[in-house]
Amino acid sequence: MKRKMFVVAVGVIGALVATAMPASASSSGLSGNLRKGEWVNYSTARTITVGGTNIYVNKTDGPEIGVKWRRCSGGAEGSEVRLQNADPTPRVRIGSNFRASTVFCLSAKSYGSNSTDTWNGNVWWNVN
Amino acid sequence: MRFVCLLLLFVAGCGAAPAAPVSSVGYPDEVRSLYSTMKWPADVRPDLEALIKATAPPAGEQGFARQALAVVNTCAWYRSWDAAVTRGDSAAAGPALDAITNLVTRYPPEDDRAGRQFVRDAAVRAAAGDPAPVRDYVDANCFDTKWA
Repeated sequence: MKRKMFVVAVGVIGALVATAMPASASSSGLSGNLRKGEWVNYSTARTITVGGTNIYVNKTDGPEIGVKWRRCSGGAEGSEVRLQNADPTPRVRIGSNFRASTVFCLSAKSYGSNSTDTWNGNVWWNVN
Repeated sequence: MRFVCLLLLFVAGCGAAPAAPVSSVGYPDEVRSLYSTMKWPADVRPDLEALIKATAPPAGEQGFARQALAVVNTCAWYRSWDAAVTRGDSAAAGPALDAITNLVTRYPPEDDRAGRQFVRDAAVRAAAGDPAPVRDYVDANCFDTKWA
């Protein structure tokens, strides 16, 4: 009986996880320099491979920041999303409904008191 | 051999961690210099000055040309191959498919596993005559790129 319940519980948890994060979901850690009030572009390119999905970020360390996505080849970018000083921040969506094969990069700027700073966090893409 | 060394340096740069900005200015020179080391199709090349304008980082610092040129070079080879196949020009389609298969598949950084798989799949489907993935890529990343 206990074994049956365990199997059912594992199945339910697995189904919930599969619903929240499609098998193609991607994620990676972030670590970047910041300038107060000025955008800093980051050089790592990432590819959306599931059409209609979104990009999310959170911050685990650092001052209040603004963050946005931009197309690495230029010509398009998202609106700024603010991540508050208290860490870790919730995961917030910074872009939605991307075309498959879009290659995106990230930019951030600081709203902290220091002229330069650093932050750490995570980025998720190919996520519904 | 020189080209292989330059390519390895280029690809290594693409895999770099999120950037630390470099204080020196000179993004336009960085783009022009890197562009000249890359292999481009004869019939599809970007308008470099327009590309520099569209992709220049806020402070004009170096260190950001690689990802922009990697995407635009991928678009260039995809467009060149698609155009050659459409007009039945196998002499031009062959080298373009070789670049799609052996050059642009090295651009996505190591931790962009989905991106690496995408360009590999696009190469396999192009080899089978299916232009859909390469057209999707160009539409998503280079629909407003100015070509020379």
